[in-house]
Amino acid sequence: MHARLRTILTLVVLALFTAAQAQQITAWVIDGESERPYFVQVQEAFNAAYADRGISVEVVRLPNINDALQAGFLGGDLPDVVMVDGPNMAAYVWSGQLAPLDPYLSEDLRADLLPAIIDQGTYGPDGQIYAISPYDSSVLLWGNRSYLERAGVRIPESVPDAWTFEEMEAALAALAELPEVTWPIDMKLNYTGEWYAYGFSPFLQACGADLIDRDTWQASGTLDAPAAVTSLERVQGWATNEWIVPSAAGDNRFFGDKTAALAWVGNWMWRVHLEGLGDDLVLIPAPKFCGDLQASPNGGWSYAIPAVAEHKDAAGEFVAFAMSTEQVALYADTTGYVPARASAIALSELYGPGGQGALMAEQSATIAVVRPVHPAYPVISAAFERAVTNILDGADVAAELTRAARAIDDDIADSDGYPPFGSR
Amino acid sequence: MIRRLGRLLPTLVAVILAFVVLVPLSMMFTVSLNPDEARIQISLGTIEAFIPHVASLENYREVLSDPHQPFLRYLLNTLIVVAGIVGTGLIVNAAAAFALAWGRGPYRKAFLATVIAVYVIPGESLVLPLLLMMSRIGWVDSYQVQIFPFIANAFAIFLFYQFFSGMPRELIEAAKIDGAGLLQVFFRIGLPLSMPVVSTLAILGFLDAWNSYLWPMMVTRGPEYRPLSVAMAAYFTSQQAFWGNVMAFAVLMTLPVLIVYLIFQRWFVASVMSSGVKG
Amino acid sequence: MIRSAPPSSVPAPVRAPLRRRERITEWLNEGALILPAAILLIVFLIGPFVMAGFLSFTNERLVPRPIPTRFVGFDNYARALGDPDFWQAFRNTFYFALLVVPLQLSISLGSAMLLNAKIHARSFFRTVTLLPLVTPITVVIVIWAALFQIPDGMLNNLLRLFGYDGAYVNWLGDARWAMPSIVLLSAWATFPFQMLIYLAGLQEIPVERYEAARIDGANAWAQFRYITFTGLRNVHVFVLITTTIQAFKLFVQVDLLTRGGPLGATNTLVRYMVQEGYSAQKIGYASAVAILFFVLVAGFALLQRALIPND
Repeated sequence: MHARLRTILTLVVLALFTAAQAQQITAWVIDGESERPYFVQVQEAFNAAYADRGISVEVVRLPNINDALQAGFLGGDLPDVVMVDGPNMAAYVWSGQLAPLDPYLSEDLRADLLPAIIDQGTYGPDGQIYAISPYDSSVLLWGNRSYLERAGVRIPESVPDAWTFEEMEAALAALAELPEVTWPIDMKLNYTGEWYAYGFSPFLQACGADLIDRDTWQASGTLDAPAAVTSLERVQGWATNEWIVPSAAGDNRFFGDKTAALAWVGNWMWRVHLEGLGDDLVLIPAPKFCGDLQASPNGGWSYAIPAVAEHKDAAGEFVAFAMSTEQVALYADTTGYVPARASAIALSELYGPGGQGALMAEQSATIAVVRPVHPAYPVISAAFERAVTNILDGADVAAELTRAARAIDDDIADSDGYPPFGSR
Repeated sequence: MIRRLGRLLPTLVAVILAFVVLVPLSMMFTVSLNPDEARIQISLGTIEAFIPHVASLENYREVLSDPHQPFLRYLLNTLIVVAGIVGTGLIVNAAAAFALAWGRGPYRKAFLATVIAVYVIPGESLVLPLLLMMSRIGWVDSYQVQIFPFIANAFAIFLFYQFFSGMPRELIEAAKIDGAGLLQVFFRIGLPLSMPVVSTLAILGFLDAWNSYLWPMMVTRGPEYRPLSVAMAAYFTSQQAFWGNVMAFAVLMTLPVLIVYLIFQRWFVASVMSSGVKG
Repeated sequence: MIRSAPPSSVPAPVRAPLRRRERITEWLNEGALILPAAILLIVFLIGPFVMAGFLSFTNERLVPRPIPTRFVGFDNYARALGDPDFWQAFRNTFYFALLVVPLQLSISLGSAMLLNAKIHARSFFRTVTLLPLVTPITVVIVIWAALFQIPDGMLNNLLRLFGYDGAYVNWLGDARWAMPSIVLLSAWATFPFQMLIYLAGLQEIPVERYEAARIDGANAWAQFRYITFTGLRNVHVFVLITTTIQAFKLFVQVDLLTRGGPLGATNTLVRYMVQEGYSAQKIGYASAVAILFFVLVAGFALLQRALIPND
């Protein structure tokens, strides 16, 4: 009787012990058509690989992850791993919301990462990495080959071969004449939020302007520089000509009913475009918007560990796993993004030698500009979004940019320059 | 002849009015029954979008089986919040009003004046400080954060007060002679007699809570606690190209209210009517 | 309209004046009734209101920051009143009210009279007309988004039917049409509410008045003008003020359909406040806007009190 009781007790204690050892972590990730299969896969793969070490992960896909993060930061109620939009990292770190990832990233991994991904995830004041993205992204022009050929438009093949501004404008005008084409270009005005800073700042940068001066952290004089005004006046001209798909016309004019001939959008639409257009789909590099310069955006959603996370070590294991060469390559092939590791590029079907993504990888390697890594970035992004939407609706370009620059500088002043950033 | 025309003309106008009301609603139903998204897109502005010609439940199946937008969970959340606000609110507000009408405390005049003053404050002015408060105590993303702020309601207290203070004194006194305390009198006599007010406030509160958007948008982050109204908005913005699914979601969200309305129509009308005159 | 409270000293006919213990029981009883509501009102209504006033003089942010919160005096108010966007939102809010209130009230009064008259299938029409009231506002928005579709949604096709020969009207995307479009949708969504209140008012007008007028030879217009319209005076004031206040609170429609655009043409005070306080997290600044909004709404509410005589 006693012996039996003892056995039971031992079993109970043992069970409790292993239960204490077993760690279940939660990861919040983005949710989209293109990412969904990958995240299902990574959860299974991680749980299989770490079963013997007693760590398991539940990957929660959130369609409106920014709202969830906002609510999470508000209530201090966050999981062990979150995905944050790369450029917002500095704002989160500045307000003490994220823990550094350095302890969990091996030397091999760092040496293998694309430089732009390291830049995006490194917080200036302490030089530590706080967010790390498994992929790099880019924006280029997607074209409907048969429309382009019928309009007699040249299709460039490589980054240096890209359209000049004049060539692009002529192409838009020619495409507008086709009977099937209601709008020559879809610039995703149906999107909200980060898209504008991401997708439209390359037009500034290709003209020698920028969202903010990255040495003085001042927007006035840079965001509203004459080059910036010229650049956005050019885009505004297209809107005035009714060449751009209006926001109310929805998402699918390029790949659905094909009333748009070109689309200026990023990798994430790859699969959708391919399904919609098949062999008619062509990839065209970012144009030389002012003279000879070109720019494309980069970066993307990154893994991070909240400062309040309970199981930081297990979370670190998960991040390291998700950043392994194999997983990074899988992420890229599932979603259409560029792998963030050089070794994964070799493994990837899309971006490996002879893959369809060569042009995208070329852009990432040659003309990509990282978005400013500064705690004021969310304000910069919101102010620029507003300016661009107003400009496309016909507002005075110089006035809108001046107002956006002032809003950004006001916010930075309100925050005492975001110390230690402002110590200049 | 003129007499008949005099009666026919208003009927004709009523028909037009009914059309204006029904056409948008019939479009919602019609589109929700059409499984062919491409067809919907082409015919959205034509007569085809308003008169059902196919009846497929495919869109409904898709909406109800979407694991990322769990409709039934949203519905449950909404029901919990609505029940929480309306159920608790009726008792709390009625109790306070009863004390105001038949209690003895010297606080009553000031309390009543405060209630009337508070009624003027628009809820929109309070949401941001309230959000700050709720975030600092860790209530963000929960049921209670959607329920508690809306239980006590100045309008409800006022409406109950008007009713209770109109009750005959003898009724209350008789109950008190039997040895009942004010609390017992409230539950035995006050509350049961106030059913007309209860039904008015229940219906108005139900509509309000079903529709509320701004506050739940700020304090919920995902399917766990998010109510239908916010989910509908999110579904609409994320599924722009899929009108069939969006409309199926819309129909599903409208149905419960519609059913309640058709059953309780008489009370419905009465409650809205009385809400106006008493303001 | 508030009836006077019953006198608080009530003669106790059976027993002598209350003894101490009975007094305590009575206090407990009364406390149990009043306290839940009192506490909730203080915590969730009065508290946040006082906080809004306090916060409006600080630079408090929604998420805590590594730099201290400061008192900024009247800076927030000065900034709001000096911000062209605030004034644009202010004008838009009034513009919306100015368009929607007359439209909605005339539809409401008209349909109330219609449904009060002897028409065929009256109860059917009553049931139907009330449907928008029970349709959740987010659903109404979704439906109208479909009607507003470009280039060939229903409203655009209707225009073409009536001979419009331009390409299409970009209802929500054109700064001139965006607000009127929102007005149309909003009036559709809520007119049955005012209609019911008018209906209640109509039913209180004695039928004899009409009979008397008819004997005096008054025509239909005169009957409407002098009996119906005049008889509804208090209802008019009530409906006018409440509808106006409701209109001031415009938010969901513009937040979902236009995000305040194009060119800020549909940005309203409430949306401006939410943008500043929630999206940009500037709680201090947004509190100042909230207080200004309160002053506006309270002003109109007091106007109602002044205009409707207490009976």
